[in-house]
Amino acid sequence: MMETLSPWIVIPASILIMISGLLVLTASIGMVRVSSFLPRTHIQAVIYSTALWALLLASLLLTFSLKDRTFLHEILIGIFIFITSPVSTILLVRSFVLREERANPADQGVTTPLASDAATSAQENDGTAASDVASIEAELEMEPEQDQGGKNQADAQITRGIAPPAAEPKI
Amino acid sequence: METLLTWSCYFTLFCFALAGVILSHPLFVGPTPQDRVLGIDALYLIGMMIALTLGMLYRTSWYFDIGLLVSLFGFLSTAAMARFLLRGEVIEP
Repeated sequence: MMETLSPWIVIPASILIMISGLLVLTASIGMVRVSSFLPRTHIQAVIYSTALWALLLASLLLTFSLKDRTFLHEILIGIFIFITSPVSTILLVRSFVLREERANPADQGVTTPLASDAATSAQENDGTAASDVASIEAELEMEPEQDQGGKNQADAQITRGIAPPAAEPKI
Repeated sequence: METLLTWSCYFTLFCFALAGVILSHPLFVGPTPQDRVLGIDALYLIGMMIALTLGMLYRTSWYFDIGLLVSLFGFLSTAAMARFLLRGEVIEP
């Protein structure tokens, strides 16, 4: 039965089969090397599906040329994987995201910040807000500077230099 | 022409076996449970691909049925374990 195959069928089929094997090997090495979960789902969903499609294409080529059986199984497997692989990936990613959301507020609740830490953080926020206000004022003064021809440039520098010390007495 | 197909099938089977050995790393060492479930899903996929390659090597229709069943069980087990990780219970009353 195999002797009736022409090389125009066998060579693309064998190339597709070897591409599938190399893709699976590369994807499993990548599953080990990638350290996070979400890129692993990407590897799982894309590369394994590509390898499976290559294998199914090779099988379809051989079955079409040999005509020894119907090609229902390949199409059925392809449709089945095409439907079910995003579903399982989405379920896994949902469970991962839910677990991370559950884990982060638990950490914040366990390590309740002290009052002094809260005060220092508030003061830091005030300082950053003051510096932001100073920089915004400086930018606002920089805009008419272009019209007036550089007179206010020194003023802008002065406000930039003065504003952070103005924030210090609040601390 | 027969030998090319046979040897490419053997090469692909070797690659699949090596990939299955490598995939035991995220299955046993994976930091989160989702990594382990993902490793099981990938192992099911590789088992289905091994069945397809054997079906192409020996030209019988039985291996494709086996591949269909393996893919079905793989999806069911992955969905069940993902639901267990999501809700803490597979079938809720």
